[in-house]
Amino acid sequence: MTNWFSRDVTLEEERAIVAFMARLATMPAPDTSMLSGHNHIWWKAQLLRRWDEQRRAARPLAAMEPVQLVAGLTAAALVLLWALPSLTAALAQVVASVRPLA
Amino acid sequence: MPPLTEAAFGDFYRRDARAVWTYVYRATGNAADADDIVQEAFVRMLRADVGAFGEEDLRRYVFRVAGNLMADRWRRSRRERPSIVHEAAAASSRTDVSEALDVTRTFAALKPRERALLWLAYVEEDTHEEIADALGVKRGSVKVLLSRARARLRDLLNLPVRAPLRRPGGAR
Repeated sequence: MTNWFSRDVTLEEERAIVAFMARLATMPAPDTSMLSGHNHIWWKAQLLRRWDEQRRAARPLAAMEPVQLVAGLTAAALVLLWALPSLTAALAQVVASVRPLA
Repeated sequence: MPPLTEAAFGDFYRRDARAVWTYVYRATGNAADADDIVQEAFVRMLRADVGAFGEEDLRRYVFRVAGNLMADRWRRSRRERPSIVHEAAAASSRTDVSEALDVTRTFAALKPRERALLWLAYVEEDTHEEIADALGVKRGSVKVLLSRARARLRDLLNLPVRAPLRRPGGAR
């Protein structure tokens, strides 16, 4: 039993509070509760747990998406830089072959 | 950790759900809110890793989650007043109705957190640590908050508060 006596209420007042709380605790609660059965709560929790697990499993994939994008763009830029001299030379050749015809 | 089985959960729920509901109902003063909060508290308990918890730990865990959920609601809406109309329907005689309304009106005049504190201290007979845990407040604050709540209740018991009755339609 917890002792909640302290200086701010007298012994008599403390007794009144204890009696009041005891009366409140024994009062019948209104019968309007729509509390779910344990099956409903169990299955709802199972579904949410499964969903949590799926999200946890997919989290690394989601985290890697921006990395994939950056890696792809970087690779494309590198290929372009590597091929730029050849592309320029090829373009110059095309221009040179077209000029005599003109 | 072995997960909690459905049968074990069923036993726990049948035994403790009503106590949690009564605590939440007395603190919020609203049966519909109590239904929502209790259901959410049990769902959150099942989503957490509580397989190794004993019965008392599970009970404490649900009370703590329910306390946190109530605190969230209090922060969102500070104007809510408890509905006391259903108390009359639950009482069996005219004397009981009158007394039930007096007791409920008096308790309803307290702030929600004060109601929760007093319920945990006097009905659940929790320690300061358990109350702090259940309501998400600092352990050192519990003594002060509880002292204030008791002083408020003492004042209310000396001077009963007459709260206006709500219409039944406004109860949910």
